[in-house]
Amino acid sequence: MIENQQRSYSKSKRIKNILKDVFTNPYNIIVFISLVFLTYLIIVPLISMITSTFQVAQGELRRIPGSQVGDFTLYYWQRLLASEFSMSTLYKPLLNSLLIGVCVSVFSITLGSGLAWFMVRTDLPFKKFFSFAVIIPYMIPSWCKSMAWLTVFRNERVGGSAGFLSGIGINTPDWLAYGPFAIICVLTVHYYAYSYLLTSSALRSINSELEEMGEIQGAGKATILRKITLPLVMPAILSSVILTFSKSIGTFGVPAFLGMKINYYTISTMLYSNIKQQNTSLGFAISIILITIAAMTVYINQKIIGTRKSYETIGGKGGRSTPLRLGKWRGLFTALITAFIGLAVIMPIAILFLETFLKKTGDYSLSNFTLHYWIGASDPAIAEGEAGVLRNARFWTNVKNTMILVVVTSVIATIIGQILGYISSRGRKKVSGKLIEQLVFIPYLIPSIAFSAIYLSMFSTRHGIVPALYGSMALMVVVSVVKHIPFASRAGTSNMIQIGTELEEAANIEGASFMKRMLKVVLPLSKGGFISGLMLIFISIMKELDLIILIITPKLATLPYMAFQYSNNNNNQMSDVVAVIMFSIVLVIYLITNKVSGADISSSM
Amino acid sequence: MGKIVLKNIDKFYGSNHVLKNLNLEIEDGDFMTLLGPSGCGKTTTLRVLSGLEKPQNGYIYMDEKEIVNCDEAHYEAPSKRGLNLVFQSYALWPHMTVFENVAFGLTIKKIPKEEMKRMVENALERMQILQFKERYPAELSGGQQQRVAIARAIVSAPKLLLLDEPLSNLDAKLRVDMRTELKRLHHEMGTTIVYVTHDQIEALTMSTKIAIFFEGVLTQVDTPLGIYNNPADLRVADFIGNPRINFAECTGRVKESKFIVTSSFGEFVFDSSMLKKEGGENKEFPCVIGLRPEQIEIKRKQEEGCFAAKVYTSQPAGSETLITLKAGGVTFLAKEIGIANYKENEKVWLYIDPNKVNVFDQESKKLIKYSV
Amino acid sequence: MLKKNIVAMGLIFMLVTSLAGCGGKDKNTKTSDSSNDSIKQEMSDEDAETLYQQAIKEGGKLNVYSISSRMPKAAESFMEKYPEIKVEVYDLKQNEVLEKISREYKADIHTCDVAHLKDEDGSVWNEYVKNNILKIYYPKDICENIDSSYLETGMPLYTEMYFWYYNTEVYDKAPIDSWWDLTREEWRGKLITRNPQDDSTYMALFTNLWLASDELEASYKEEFGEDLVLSKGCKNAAEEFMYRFCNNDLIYAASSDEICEAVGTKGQDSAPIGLAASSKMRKVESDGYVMNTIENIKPFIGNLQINYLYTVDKSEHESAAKLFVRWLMGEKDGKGKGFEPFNTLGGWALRKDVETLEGNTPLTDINYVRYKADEVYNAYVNVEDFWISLQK
Repeated sequence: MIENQQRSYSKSKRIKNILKDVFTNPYNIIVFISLVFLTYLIIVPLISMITSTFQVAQGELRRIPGSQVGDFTLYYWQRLLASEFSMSTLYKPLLNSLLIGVCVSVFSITLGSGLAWFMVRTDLPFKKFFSFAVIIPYMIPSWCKSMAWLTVFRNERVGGSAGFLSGIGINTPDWLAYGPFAIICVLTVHYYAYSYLLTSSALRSINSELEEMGEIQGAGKATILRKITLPLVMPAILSSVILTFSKSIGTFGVPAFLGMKINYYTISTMLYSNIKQQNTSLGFAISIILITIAAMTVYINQKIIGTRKSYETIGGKGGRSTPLRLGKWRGLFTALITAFIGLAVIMPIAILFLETFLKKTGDYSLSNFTLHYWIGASDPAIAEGEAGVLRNARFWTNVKNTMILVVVTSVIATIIGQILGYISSRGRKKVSGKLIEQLVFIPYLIPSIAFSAIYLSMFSTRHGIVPALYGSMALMVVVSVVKHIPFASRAGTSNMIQIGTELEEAANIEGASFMKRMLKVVLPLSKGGFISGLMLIFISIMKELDLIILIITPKLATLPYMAFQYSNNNNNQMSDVVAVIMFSIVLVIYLITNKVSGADISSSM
Repeated sequence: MGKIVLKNIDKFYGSNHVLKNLNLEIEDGDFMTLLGPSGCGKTTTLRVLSGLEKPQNGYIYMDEKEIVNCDEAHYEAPSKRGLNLVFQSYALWPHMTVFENVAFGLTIKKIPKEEMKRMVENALERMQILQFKERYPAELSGGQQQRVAIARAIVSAPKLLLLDEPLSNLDAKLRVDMRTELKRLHHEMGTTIVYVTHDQIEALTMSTKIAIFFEGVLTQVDTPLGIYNNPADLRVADFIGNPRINFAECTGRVKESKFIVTSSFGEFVFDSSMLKKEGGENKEFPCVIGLRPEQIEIKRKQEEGCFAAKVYTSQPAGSETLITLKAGGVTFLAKEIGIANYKENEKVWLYIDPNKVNVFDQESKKLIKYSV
Repeated sequence: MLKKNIVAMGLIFMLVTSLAGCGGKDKNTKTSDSSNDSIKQEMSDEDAETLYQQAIKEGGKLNVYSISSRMPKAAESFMEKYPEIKVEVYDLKQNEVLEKISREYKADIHTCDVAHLKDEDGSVWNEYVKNNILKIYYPKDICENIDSSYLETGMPLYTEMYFWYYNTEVYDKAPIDSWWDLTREEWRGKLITRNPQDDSTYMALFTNLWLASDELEASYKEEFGEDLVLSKGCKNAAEEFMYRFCNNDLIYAASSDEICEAVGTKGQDSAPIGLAASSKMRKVESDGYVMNTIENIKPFIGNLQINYLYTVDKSEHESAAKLFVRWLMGEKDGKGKGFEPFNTLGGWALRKDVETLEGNTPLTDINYVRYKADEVYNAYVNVEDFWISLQK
């Protein structure tokens, strides 16, 4: 009987079964949907971006005689890569960007992982306060920090009111006030939070017995750190290299604020400037170069991490952790970290806050203090008659817009992130998992400004069933969701990895369908990680400006945009007021979530 | 349940060939243990059987019903195979109480509430953990969690119960208790059990049959005693038995219907009918002699058919004594029940029953002379 | 493996280039080579009441994209006068207005009815008006009061200019009187401007200098009493000027506001002089800045920065749009309230029947150059390239 069955092998049955399996397997279905989704929102924009760098645009008809709009051309690439302008439009800004990228990466990783080590591994006092304080910079937009920087270091070269130091008679040299040094300092303070979050969660997962074993073998603290701890957190450190490096070469705000005044261009400010000047094709070509560089770092990084990646799961079970005693160094390190937090965390906020009360910046006399910028009625003698922020009719609309955007986006992005995280954690050995893991990283590499420019053109027209979203909140949500997918799916992956596959298999054996497994097993178990991931995205979107600046409309203005508008009209104090309000919203929501759910954003990195 | 047949199963992970042309039959009511060192494919076999993994080649039949046919890409869903599985990690859902964990499968089958309650409590009682039914897994000890996992697996009275190293996370004492418990469970329920372990004691004490795996190949299937007495090859012999089997290299030769094995410490002569190897008459070939420690009887004075030896060390352990001996440059381990006192370098004589001796072919590593 | 990658990259390249080659030839666009067929100025003589009635029939709505934060004020007064029409104003940046209009136009969305833009580099005229995306509405009764030279490429709402500002505490009179002064050593590190690379208004100003290179050469001789010797790489006097100017350690600011703050803040010992929009004279009063414009520079101050009004092709509220343009222009007699928000310090009405605001130097007394949309547009890229080539 069995022999007979064995021979009744039928090709058509086989095909039928395979197809049935592929199309009824819910895993395949979500992979398929995700791939369609990612292709449409990531690959298509990328290709249309590349395509447009080979097409003549209206403005270039002047430069390319006899051509027509839409003709194939190598003009943009030739101009960018091999013309007399290449040096100033590409190579020099590129070098500047690389310098900034490398320095910021080195400094912020040293700083971030150093702090992480102190917070997780040592008996540093006031840890609770410190570990909260060090993530505050993640909650403040970077342009706030550059404003704070200028408030302190602004010198008389630029004229106008003096900075704080100039005000008290210390004239700051140009290199301190503007340019690479300033940019690197501000960006380091801005980005160290990434490596702090990544490294501290890696450190927390290392069983301290591994270190204690080293101690028993007679190794000193420094040797243990170097030979045991560091190699174990290396994967985390290397992935923060990617995050920091690609972020710092792609960021626009800080280099624009602190660099463009002295004609110091980075590739991102060059890109911004071109897009603003409607040299969109050239701008896109620059973005493609930027993407290529970032992709190369990722590639090199993956080569370096290689097999080491497996470390990440080893420590998974965590276990006991005995803090290392700092002994006589305790006082010194406490002082140093306090000083750092004072300078890099509290001071920028304090300056920002203080400035909102100054009628004229730079004058700290009591008579100059005012609440006008907060609640003042329109007074023609101040700020061209702009009423205080809280009296601005648009303020509450903007708060509402911001909250809608932030809440909707972070919820959607987190859900998608969890799904993608599920795929890549369950499909680690499968092509699908690897493919998705690579795909979701792309939006991270595309500079925000280029990203929104391409979305602007993609969604201004109806594409099949997708209506023209331009000018609607939906487009802002879509852009923000896609741009934050790398983070969201990272949070999703680290969340899903914690849920053992056996828990699902056990339910599978009990006969639970895919949906049932998701609802009854995966979802309840991923709640904590879900909220942590949500917070991570929430904070990030709250500050978002570069990304939505091109697609925002007055009715849809958000708080960061409002701050930007104020600052554009030179109403710095009002811009500060908005920034302070934004920061307060983030802080309050973070604290409440933290209290209520114990969410920990570092667990999502 | 009738018998389970696995036929020509191949399983690859990427280019890694983890199950190589596996053929195995499990009879109804068997307690079949899959035994082997880690990475040998025993857990994979279990997962293939459960439906959590899909093999690339082969067929599986349960009760003559085809549940896997790789040629036709037909794989029955795990829940339709009438089996249940206890994971090594227990895989208890941390967000559900003990009751909810056990009841989960029943709720999916839409069993009425009253009926379900009765079944769950019955299973919990059987595993003696009814008092913990409102607790969460995190509030239980390892042993209790283990019992919950088993209760969850047996609540729906599966025809086949799969256990993946269920005792490996328990301490030594609990392990012995659970062994008894599982054996009793098998008797009471009469379910076919497939049990994966790398612990030979578990395998030998509990199973009705053992399947031994090495590097993805099923090497031998037999009763525990059958495997102990007549391991199919050198690797199996070496793997089974604690303390380990003694090996001695020697030379075999067939002469005048006698099979003569010559070693450095002496000569064994068997009837050539006991030899399971085709071979030329009078031709010498290398072989290995296998002696279980308890097969070596130590005599204080010389007797007929004994080999001279010297005591190297003696380790009394209460219920038994392990003695290391040297004879003809070969080191042996012998086991005596009770306490025995031998001095170092004491000269002794060893008696070995030739009927019980295993002889392996050096070249093929296969057993060529069985113990009787 | 490597081979595979190369093949894959080749395929991608082919795909991209073929897409680029065949895709997106837009039928709506014309090349600017055919620029000679200038748009005919067709005067319309519909009166306000008729337009209002038609506008109500069209739905009583109007969307305005404007580069001015004063536009909402004008819209308010419009809605008082014509309560049946709801006006929505989008206050945006020049490039945002253009980006929005062109993307929407391509998508066949016609939200915008009236656009308020500047066109100092001629791109609106050449890329939008000539391609019929933007249209010009010339109300006959109003245009009769405007010099026809201002009407060539758009309906002029008002004009601004870019001035050099100086700090009146530091200098008692205008410290320069020629563009060539800016190349002098004494101004090294004390000139503040926008980077022309980032702001086409500034690049357009240099383009106007470039077009008047001969005059610039003459004023060099006047200033220094000798013939100008061109440096290597400079083809004319304007390029020589840009070369020297650019190398005089310029300070770049982010906006006209920032420039005026740098120049006009009280209590400075040494303040820079800065090039900024004329409208920032308002800051003297509102922010207490101590600064003034330099109104006499050889060979000329610069070009007019005319703010134009356009209607949009396929607009759904054409009559309302026309009515609104009329309103902004001050209606028939120039006394309508629509123009008031734009009649400020540093802004000049171009209607002969509207008086220049007190405090503004009359336009006739200012030495400016006429706006030449086509010439500026075509020369612009050369100047831009030259400027970029100066960035070492």
